[in-house]
Order: sequence, then C-alpha cells, then structure tokens
Amino acid sequence: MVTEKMLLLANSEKSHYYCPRSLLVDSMLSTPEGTVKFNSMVEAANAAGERPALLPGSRTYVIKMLGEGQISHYNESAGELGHYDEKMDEQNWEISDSTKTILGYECILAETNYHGRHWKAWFAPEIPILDGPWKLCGLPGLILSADADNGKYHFEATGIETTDQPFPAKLYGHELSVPTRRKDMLKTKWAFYTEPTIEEDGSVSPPWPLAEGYDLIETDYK
Amino acid sequence: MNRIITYLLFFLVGINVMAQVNVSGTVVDKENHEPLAGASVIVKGNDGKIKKYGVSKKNGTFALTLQAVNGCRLEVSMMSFTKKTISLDSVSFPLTIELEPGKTLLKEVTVKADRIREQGDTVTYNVGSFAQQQDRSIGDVLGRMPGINVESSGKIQYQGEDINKFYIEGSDMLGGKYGIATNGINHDDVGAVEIMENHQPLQVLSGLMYSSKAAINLKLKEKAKATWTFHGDAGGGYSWQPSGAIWDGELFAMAVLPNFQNITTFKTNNIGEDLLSQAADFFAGGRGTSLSRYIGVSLPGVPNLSRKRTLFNRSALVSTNALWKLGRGEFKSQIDYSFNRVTAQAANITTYYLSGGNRVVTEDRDGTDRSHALSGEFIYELNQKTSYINNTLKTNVSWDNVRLSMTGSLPNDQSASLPDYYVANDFKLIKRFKDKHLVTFSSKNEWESLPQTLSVSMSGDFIRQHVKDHSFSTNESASYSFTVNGITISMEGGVEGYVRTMKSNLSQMADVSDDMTSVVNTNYFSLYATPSLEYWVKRVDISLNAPIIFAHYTFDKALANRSEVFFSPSLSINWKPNNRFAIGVNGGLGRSPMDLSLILPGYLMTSYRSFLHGVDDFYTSTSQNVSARFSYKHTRHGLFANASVAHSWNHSPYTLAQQLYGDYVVYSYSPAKSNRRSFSANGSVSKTLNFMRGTVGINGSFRRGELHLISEDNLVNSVSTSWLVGAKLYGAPLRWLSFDYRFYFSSSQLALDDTKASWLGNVENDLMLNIMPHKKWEWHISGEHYRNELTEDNYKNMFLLDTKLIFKYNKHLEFSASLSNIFNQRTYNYTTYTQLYSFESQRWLRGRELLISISLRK
Repeated sequence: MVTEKMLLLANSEKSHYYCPRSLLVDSMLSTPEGTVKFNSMVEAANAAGERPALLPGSRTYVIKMLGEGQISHYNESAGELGHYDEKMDEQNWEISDSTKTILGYECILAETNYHGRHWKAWFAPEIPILDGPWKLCGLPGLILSADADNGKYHFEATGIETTDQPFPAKLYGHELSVPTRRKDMLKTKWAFYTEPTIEEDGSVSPPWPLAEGYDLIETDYK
Repeated sequence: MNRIITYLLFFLVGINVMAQVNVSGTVVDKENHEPLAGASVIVKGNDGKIKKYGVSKKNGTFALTLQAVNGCRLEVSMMSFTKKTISLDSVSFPLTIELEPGKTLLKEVTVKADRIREQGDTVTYNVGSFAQQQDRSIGDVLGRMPGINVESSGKIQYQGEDINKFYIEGSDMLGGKYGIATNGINHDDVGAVEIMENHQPLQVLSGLMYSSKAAINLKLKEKAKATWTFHGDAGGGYSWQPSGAIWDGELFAMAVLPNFQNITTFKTNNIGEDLLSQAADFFAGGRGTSLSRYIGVSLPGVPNLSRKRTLFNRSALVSTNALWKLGRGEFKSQIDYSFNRVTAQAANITTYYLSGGNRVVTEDRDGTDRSHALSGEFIYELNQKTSYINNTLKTNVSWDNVRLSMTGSLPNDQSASLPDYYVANDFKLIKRFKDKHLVTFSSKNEWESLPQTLSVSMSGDFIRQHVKDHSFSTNESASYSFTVNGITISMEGGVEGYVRTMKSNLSQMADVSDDMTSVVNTNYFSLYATPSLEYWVKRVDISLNAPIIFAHYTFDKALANRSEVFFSPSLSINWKPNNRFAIGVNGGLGRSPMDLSLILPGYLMTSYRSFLHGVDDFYTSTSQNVSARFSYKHTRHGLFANASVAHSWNHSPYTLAQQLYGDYVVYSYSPAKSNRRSFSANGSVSKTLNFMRGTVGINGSFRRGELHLISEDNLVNSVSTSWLVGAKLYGAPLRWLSFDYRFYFSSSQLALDDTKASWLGNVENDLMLNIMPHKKWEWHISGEHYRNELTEDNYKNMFLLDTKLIFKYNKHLEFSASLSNIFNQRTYNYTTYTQLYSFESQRWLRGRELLISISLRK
C-alpha cells in the first residue's frame, strides 16, 4: 500500500487539493539556486546510500470552484502533464443513517457511484464546506473520510485547522500542461503502466510491475 | 409497450407535481445584502435526518424539491457566518435567508505533519507537534524534542553537546545570553526549530574549518514576524513559610523586523525561581585576567531537592537586547541588570574524618546574600564569505554582599563584601582571499579588579581580611592559513602580557601565625606559536594543534623569576560516515603553569575558620586527556542517541594539605607529588511516541574522581564515585489529558584510602497531570517524591504536591490560581559527604503558597 500526504486548502468559494511535498520540490526547482541545492541533496543521499529526504510525490492537483460547480483536474500521465475540467454534479450522493466520529466531528455516511467505483464518504455537517479530498464534493459538510470499493482507494483526514495561508500561486509545473480529456488521460496512463515501451534504440522495456488487483482511481475508461 | 411506460412515468411524475414543495430562496449577507454563494442548505425532517440538501449558487439562490415539508426545518450555514435554522411549517417561498457574520470555530486538530524532518545537515522539529497545553516558553517545548536537552537556566544541548549559536530567524542577537529567549519566547510564536549540525558560524571559515558543534535557529510564525509581540504575567499571593506576601511577574517584548531585532524583558519574583542563571552567558570562556576569589562565604544550599523548593529569594532581572543591520554588518547591544537577595538558614553538624579520630563541629547558620550585577556588551560584526570583523566591548560589574551568623561551637558573624569590576575588548579580523587563504588578526585586552573584604566577629574579637587583587591581560596574535586538497595548514603567532597585583591584609590575628600580610606581583610575558594541521575531506576531519609557548615570569621579590617553555599538542578526529552516525575522538597532553593565585607568602582568611597559605615555589603540572563521543539519529523514527567517555590525568609536584589548629583549618600546598585522575561516561537515548504526541527518553552517567590530599600530615587517596540514571516520559494520550513524568536515581560513594563509605542513593519521581475538561479550563496536578538515603539503609521520604487551575478567557487573557506544597511541609534533613567531611543538616522548605495570576499576550 502506498500512502501519500495531501492537503486540501478550502474556503466557501474554492479549494485546492495537492501534495505539499511536490509543491515544495517544484518551488525549489523553479530557481537555479534551488535546483543546485536540490541536486546536491539528492547526490549526497545517493552517495550515502540513502533515500533523499525530499522527493516529489503525487502530481495530482485538483482545483474546485464551488460557486461554478466546476472541478479542474491536473495530473501527469506517461510523463506528460495534462488537465481537464468536469462538472461537480456527476456525484449523486445517497445519505444514509450511519454516523461515526472523525477528529471529534460527528460524520454521516453517504454513498455514490462515480467514474467506475463505488464510493463511501463520511462528511461533517458541522463544517459547512461542501468539499472533500480529491474530486469528491457536494455533500452538505466537509468529507473527512472516503473509501472506494472497500479500500482500493482511501482518504482519511489527519488534521484540520484554520489558516491564513494563501492558495498556491503556482501549480507545480502545470503551467505547461496541455488540455486533454479525462478518459484519454486515464487510457494513456494505463497503457504506460501495462504495455511494454519501445525505447529510442529500438529495445523494448517491460511494463511496470503492478500490484495484484491494482487499477486507477477511476475505472470507467476501459 | 412503449406507450404504457411513458404513461406510467407521466403518471408518477404527475403525482409528484401534485404533492411536491419547492423549497427555494436566496442567501444574503445580513450586513450588505450581497448574495452569498457556496452556503450549505439542508432540509431536515422532524427526526433530525437530512432529507434534502444543496448549495447556494453564484447569485445566492437555491432550490430543493421535496415531497412534503411538514415538521421540517431548513438549516443554512457557511464558514464565517452564524448558522440559521428556519421551520418550514408556515413559510412561503422563495425565502430570503440573511446570514449574520460570525465565527465558525473549528475544533482544530493539528495536522500530523512530520514531527521531525531532516534535510542535509539540518534537522527541523515542528513545534506544534511537540507542544502540550501546559507549555509556555519555547524552552518548555524544546525539552520535549528528542535529541535536545534544556536546563532550567535555558541552556541547550543537542546530542549531549552544548550548542555553539542560538539564532532567531537566522540572526544571532543574544550571543551566549540566549536563556532570555528560551525562557521568554512564547512557543506559540515559533513554527519550527532547526538544528544545524556541524555549524560553522563564521562564513569566512566555511568549508575550511570543521565544526563538530550544532547551532539552533527558531523559525517564527508569520504572525510573530515583522511586528512586536508582547506577553506579561502578574501574580500575587500568600506564603505560609516564610509567612507573608509573594509575587511573580514577567514582561516580555520581542520584535523581529527585517533590519532590527529586540528582546526586552523584566522579571521579578520571590517564589523561588532563580533568575540569575537565566541571564548567564553560556558561551563565556575563561577570563584572561585569571582572578579568582579567595574568600568564600556562601549560604547553605540544599542538594537532592528541587531548587524552587528551597530558594528563599527576592529577585529582579531587566534585560534589553537589540540588533541593527547596518549595511552588510550588524551592531548588537546587550544590557542586563539583576538583583538577587537570598536568605538561608541551616542547622549543621560537620564531622571531619581524621586519622586520629573524627572531629565534630556544630553550627546553626543564618545568612543573607544580596547581589547586584550590571553587564553591557556592544558588538559590531561583519560576517561574510570573504571577510569577518568582530569587535566586542564587554563590561561586567557586580556587587555581592554576604552576611552569615552562626551559633554553636564557634559562634560568629561573618560579613563579606565581594564586588567585581571587569572590562574587556576583543577584536578579530579574518580575510579570505583566493578562496583558500586566510589571514587573521586578533587582539584581546582585559582588565579586572576583584577586591574582597571579610569581617568576622567571634567571641568578642573583630577580625577583618582585606584583599586587593587586580590584573590586566593583553593578547595579540596574527595567523595565516591555506588549504590544498582538503588539508589546511595554519600558523598562528602572538604575544601575551599579564600584570597582576595582589595585596592581602588581616587585622588582629596572632593565633595561627604572624605572617598575615601578603603583597604579590605575578607578571609574565609570553611569546607563542601554534602550528596546526587540519585534514578535512568529505566525511572525515582530522585536526592537530601544537602550541608552543615561551613564557617569562617575574614575581617581584616573592619568588625567583622563571622562564618556561610549554608544549601542549592535541589531536581530534571526527568521522561522520553518513547522516545518522557521528563519531569523534580527542586527545591531548602537555604542561601548564600553576594557578598564580596560589603564590601567597602569608596566610589569608577565606572564612571564619579556614585559612589559605600558598606555595613556596613556582611549579608546573602536566596533564593528559582522552575523550570519545558517538551519536546516532534516525529522524524518520524520531530516534536520537549519544554516548561519550572522557578520561584525564593531572600530575603536579604540590599537594593540597589540610591541617587543624584548634578550631581553625589551614589549607596549604606541600611539596609532595599529587596525582589527580577523573573519568566520566554519559549516554542518552530519546524517541518520539507519535501515538500520543509524546516523547520517551532515558539517560545515564557515571563519574569517578581520584585525588591526593594531605590531611594532618598523612597522604590520603580520595576516590569519589557516582552514577545516575534518569528517565522521562511525556505525552497526551487523550484529548483532555496530558502528562509529564520524570524519574532519577543517583548513587554516590566516597572512599578515603581503603576506607569506603557506603553507597548512598537518591530517587526522585515527578509526575504532572494536566486535565482539560473544557477548552477554556485547565487543571494541573503535580507531585514530587524524593527518597534520599541519609546513611546506609536509612531513607528520608518526602512528597510534595502542587496544583494549579487555569481559566483561558480568550486567546489574549488567562487567569490562574496555584497552590504549591499543599501539605505545607516545612523542613528537610539530610547528610552529605565531601572528600574531607560528612555533613548532617536540617533545612527549611518553602511552605504552602497560594498564587493568583493574570497573563496577557498580544
């Protein structure tokens, strides 16, 4: 299982969902001095036979404009950066009677089928932000936990605080990303993972070894 | 078939149209009637369950369609507005919902950011993830971070070694007086603590001269930057012993601006908090003036018990420190004034171990120590890659007056006046050129005057000992060094001059000797050269120093003039195979001159019944030392460990001798070979406990000291051995509970020749519970338990209980009431051993105290 620490920075109008570590690395790499510092750090770690303390993580970046009902999704597939927009109303949540407490908040369970997976989400009506991790949103309260297909993908809030932190001005490298379509992006990504690659010299690299049962977070591209 | 389905659908929809209610409206801001987008709109049934929900659009409108709304209510909420609830039974749509601005308070749960991160040589601790509710200053939180140790004075150690710099936002304003910051800065203003390992504070030496020491940098939160921050406490109350009023107050102001920093603080209390140690300069080295007090009249102290339980004080401290950035350089000023009045009482029985049987002296002591200290330090510093300039002007003036009355076998009154006047200027210039060459000039001039007066009235006699002692020292040096392939070769040459005059005079004393006046001039002039070689490639540093000193001593007429050559080479090897491990080995040997203050032709009274007589000739001693240290860290697991051992030997041709003449003790130096040897070992391991935001740590130490003494003409070999183990455990296992627990066990033994006294052990357990039943309330309950072994298998148990209640009115204001020593324990008895005597005593404790305080912060 791979775990990644992500951040949802939200107010009533909009939200940014991203990996703070990737943002830090990218801000370092955006200046020549930062690039030198980053490279020397990686070299030092390699020389010592250690994993560098700082490496970029997930490149997923989701911006939601709540008033406009629009989700902008930025990601990497097969080494290329791409982005697309979609509407929020594709998530039709069914609210159930189950409740549980997360981070001291009473949360209600809601379920939906979304882009090929069955999602269960726990939201806190006490926090009137109609948002959640990744693309998940639209419940009358912040989603603090969400789970797809019994644990294939899982989001869990680890903390919550009020902040005066501004929204990031740069979306790590995504200034250069190209507009694409959601399913095309997923297909390219899946092909990159599963099909052998033909290198420039004509040799063939085998596909990435994927864990048993692994699939992308959205499966409706097949 | 199609027809039928369409029909049926139509029918169903038709039914819906008949029964459905369209709950619609607009959400607006009550203050300006602007539409609010993004508000959460929920319709709940009379069972409280969500029936339908939606969100207000850009124009503030919303529309929800329900079958029926009987018994339902509409809830509209939005961040930064107060939630509005409307019953839908008798309203007509569309509604206009006016939301009033208000606070949506989040139950904040600090994000589980990495508590400790590592990047290159820097280890970053997230302050918020270590702080507990009961913490006030950044020092409180530093003590919870694994790998970091903080003394009550505010002095910081990282991996068992003292830090070499303390920065706030990268600026070194306080120098070694950073105790003001560790004990003063509110932890809530600090975002992160950075430890920079192998920190070379002089940029000009960066990459050329290795440093094994670490520095600390406080990264402030945005709210504390580019502004002034203030906090203050004022408390008053009543104490049962000594009965009377008590107070405790503090004002602290800090500015961290781009070109200016300031910390100003005022503290005063009479509740047993020692302020003097907080204003100490932790980086201060020995003074070149090399004066030390002969007269030692000190108040009785209480070992094996927390100092705040036994310190009867009235203290005040004012400190103002500023830093201005001037072009590329900085000007810094540090001005402190402190006042301290300490009273102490004791009943003592002292037993001297003599070969011909023990001698017992009984005393009751009652004393007062009043001291004032004023110090000012003014620094200009330019710290750049190719040049370094530092000029430090320092003045320290202090007055210390001690009065001590005794009853018992030798009733007397002692009064000592012990002022100290010191001025020094230290200049250093380093230039780096062609990247690999360094030229250094340094000049240090120091002057000190240390007059001492001791007045003793005893059995109708009045005796007064006067000492006038002053000296001037100057040290001028130049050095050149260059680096080739990681090898740096340096040569330093310099001259040192030293002039000292001491006069001592004792009135009316003929019992011991007639020789009661001394006039001594101890002067020397020396030339020195220090070649050094440093090999530093990647992760290994080897450095060799070999100072050679030629010195000429003149003693006026007291002793014959002497010329000496001293050679004291030392070697250190540091190896850091990777970021986790570091190993260091040091060794040195050499010859050094005697302590010149021991040249004393006559007798000098150092306390009411002890006298000092000096040596009759100049001598030198030789010494050897070896030490090794090891440290390990694994930041991702929050694990830090370190261990060190040190061994040293000293050989001198003179031995301290103790002789009793009636009730008087005379200390002198006899021409007999004396060897001293000491060994110490220390180790500690600490680790984060993330499941309860806690830390666990254990530490241990062992010491053995061996020395020779002449007691009543017999040579005695004295060996003292002690060891200590400690443990600490901090955490917040529940949302409403946090705790701090500490444990110590120490044991010591003294052996004179082959006669060994028994091992005596002391145990201390401290537990503090902080219960937070509500976010505005905090309740502390803490207990200290001591189990001290007085004589073999004879224990003294002591349990002290304190409590404190805190009400947090808001972020800026809080009130507290504390009751300490609830059981009002007033006395404490114990026995201790030194190399020459045993000491039984009765001491007084601070009794029950009630203190009501108010705290304000901006």
